[in-house]
Amino acid sequence: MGSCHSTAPEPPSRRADETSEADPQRPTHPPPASVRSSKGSALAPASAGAPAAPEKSSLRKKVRQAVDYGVQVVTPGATKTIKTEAELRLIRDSLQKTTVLGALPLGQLTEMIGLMGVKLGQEGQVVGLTNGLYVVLEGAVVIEGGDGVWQRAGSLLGEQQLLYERLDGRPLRARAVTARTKLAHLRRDTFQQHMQGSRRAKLEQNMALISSIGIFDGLSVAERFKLADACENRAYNAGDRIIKQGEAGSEFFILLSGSAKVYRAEGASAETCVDNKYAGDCFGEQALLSDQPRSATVVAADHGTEVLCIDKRMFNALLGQLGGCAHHVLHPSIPQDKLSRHVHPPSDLLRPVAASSSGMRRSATSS
Amino acid sequence: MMVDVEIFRHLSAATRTQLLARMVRVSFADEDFVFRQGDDADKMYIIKSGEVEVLIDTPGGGIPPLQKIDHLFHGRCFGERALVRREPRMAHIRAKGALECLTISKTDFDELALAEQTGYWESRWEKEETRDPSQFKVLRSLGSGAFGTAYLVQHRMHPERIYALKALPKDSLSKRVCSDVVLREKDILASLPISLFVVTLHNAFQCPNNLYMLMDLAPGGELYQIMANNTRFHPLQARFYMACIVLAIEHLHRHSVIFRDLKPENLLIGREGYLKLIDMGFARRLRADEKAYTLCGTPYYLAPEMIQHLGHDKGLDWWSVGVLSFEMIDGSPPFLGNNEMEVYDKVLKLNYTYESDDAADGSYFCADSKDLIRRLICLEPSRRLGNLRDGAEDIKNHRWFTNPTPMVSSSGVARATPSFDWKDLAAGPNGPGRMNPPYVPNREKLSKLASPAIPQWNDKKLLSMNDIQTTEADKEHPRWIAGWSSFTM
Repeated sequence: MGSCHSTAPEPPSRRADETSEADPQRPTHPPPASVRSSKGSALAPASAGAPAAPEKSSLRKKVRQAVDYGVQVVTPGATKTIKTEAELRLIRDSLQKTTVLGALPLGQLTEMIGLMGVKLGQEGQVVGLTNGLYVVLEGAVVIEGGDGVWQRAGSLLGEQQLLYERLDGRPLRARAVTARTKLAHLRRDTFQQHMQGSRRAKLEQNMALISSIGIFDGLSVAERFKLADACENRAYNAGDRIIKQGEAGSEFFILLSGSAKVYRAEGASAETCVDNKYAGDCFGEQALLSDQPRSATVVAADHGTEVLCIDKRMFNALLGQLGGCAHHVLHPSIPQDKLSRHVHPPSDLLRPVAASSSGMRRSATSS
Repeated sequence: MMVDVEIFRHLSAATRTQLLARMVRVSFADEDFVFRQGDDADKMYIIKSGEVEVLIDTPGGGIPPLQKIDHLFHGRCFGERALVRREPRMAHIRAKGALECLTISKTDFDELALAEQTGYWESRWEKEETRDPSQFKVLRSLGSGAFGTAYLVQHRMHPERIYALKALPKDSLSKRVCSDVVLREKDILASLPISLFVVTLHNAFQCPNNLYMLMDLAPGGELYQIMANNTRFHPLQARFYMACIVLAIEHLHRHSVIFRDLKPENLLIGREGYLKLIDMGFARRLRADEKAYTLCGTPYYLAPEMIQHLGHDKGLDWWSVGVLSFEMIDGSPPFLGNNEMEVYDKVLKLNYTYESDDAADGSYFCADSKDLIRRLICLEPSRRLGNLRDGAEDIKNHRWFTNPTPMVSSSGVARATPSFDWKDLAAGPNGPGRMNPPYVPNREKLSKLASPAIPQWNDKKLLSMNDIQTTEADKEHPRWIAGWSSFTM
């Protein structure tokens, strides 16, 4: 909801009757006829021996209920965060199997693990597993009201609660069945705030970088934001080749951190270093303008050299062809700032030649 | 004080000064009639202090002879309608307690060309006539929504006007929910220009117990119900509905609003069979250079970026358009599972299938519809159709809409589906080229619904609503919610 800008606590606001019992007046949306059953039956329950799956229609209804949970207060550091090397590995392996966190870059996943708390339990103790995701680190637990299967080290519990409270409102509870039971806990609010914070920081960084590049002077703020959102962040180690002379390429790079060396081979002679690129510099810009092969090789010079990578096809689909600003890229002797702020209003520079009638769109999207 | 009266706000400073100089003060005692119904009009009135009742003769000479239809207080004006329309008085005005008014004579009214602001007066009257629960007769309940109940109501003065009135009990709204969800919904609806494809908010008002939103009646019910009865649509029907949805979402996006909860439950079928988007509870305004992060929506329709908390913007709605299109043609949403996590897992793996490819009669997916859905159900928001350079135009120009696809009818005759005319759709039911909506609510049923012969809903709460009249004193009520009424003095 409107919490995106505030760091203020926003307790969950739920739509009272949609999350409560189903509306009796509403006709059930029946599971579509026979043809569709193959889809449903292909889904095995999450763990063997789970209680009989409820009526499909009621499941559908459940899944249909609207959810809306805001970001909540974070109180990091309140829990014990001591985790051994083996435990960290265990958590990482488990989280990588999850739907929600599986695709996170390793660095961000590690940061997230650092924010996880630890819960300890003794045999027979009942632990409430609400407000987030749990990974069993040591010992085993049994889910109350579940199938009785022992969830041992590495098991993942309550992933759905990383997104929102359970729709049925019943808290997830587990009973420790071993003398010493240890669980790692990622709170929903911690997770959401971390994701939001890192995403926003990255967008801001990309935005600042894109705005500093002359080629993009003609883009509106809205267009730059689209680009900042769509471009890909990549990291290289020292010595990694980013582009190779003579190869076809469709990507344009902006150096985010670290540095890179530019090599060029003239004719049969060996490659020589012709330039150095530092944070804020760009290379591969020809790719946005033509299909010419790369005119040089660029190699990362530092460990953890980061680049922003803008793909030509993505760029064209998102913002139209760069046509107009080809000029100052191809003739860099003309001062860039002069060219881009001269003659034409800035937004004209990037207007696709063929689709000039779509000029209205720009004002529409940026309004 | 007079400068603050709403009817003067749109006037130029010069006109306002002249007007103030020409106004004459008049006083009335309790129960005095300021004027009577049928009188010739010679001036308009602005209430300086006190209250008046608006009464009309009971039709057919019934008992009691006079019927109270409205009441006005400080700052309001009356009597201007007869001047603008050059008609006799439409109602009696009776003072309630001591009354002091300022008057503008007919001559001054004409000299300052006040009557010529027709557009302004018309919209003002519409709002004025719909600013209080007592102005409506409740015919029946239409069902319960997220926070309150919707009623079918008829305007007392203009029985041909039928609306849906959503009543939200203040008891059930916590302060937070109220300001966050309900007020935002109202603000967004009130600020959107009128579109055929988005429900129109005619007015918003309140009494000490309830908040009210007066909206278009969409008598065809939820698209959800039709889908439930029908299981699936013929692709041509689905195409019509999808086109309505595309125009609705395009309309919101054009005004920097993202909807975030597109599903068949939130689409109603209007009088003419066109879809109307309702329920802006999750909608929010979003600048072109920001993203929203709050998880909200309905599991079947959640976009991948929402599940992964990567931040979302307009692209989110286009994802749901794709999911909904699939559901309309197939009969069930593309991503199904035994629980939400299974659904989300399939979403992130784009794991969905078309049941069969062999419907040669064109009653199922074709290559074009599959292609369109594939481009909408696209993991990367920045590559998703609808979210690219040309926005919704990309969808409108997609082959599924433009190509006259050859298909074989059940009788074995090959024919071509006509290409879709977006202009005709946007022009609406009264446009030059009429569309043929798959389902048009039965007119007979409609008039029956609205006929006063139907016994009133047997519900105390409902009936008591007929007596609710707000007074000036209500504004001091502790539960009065500032900023709710869209009609201000």
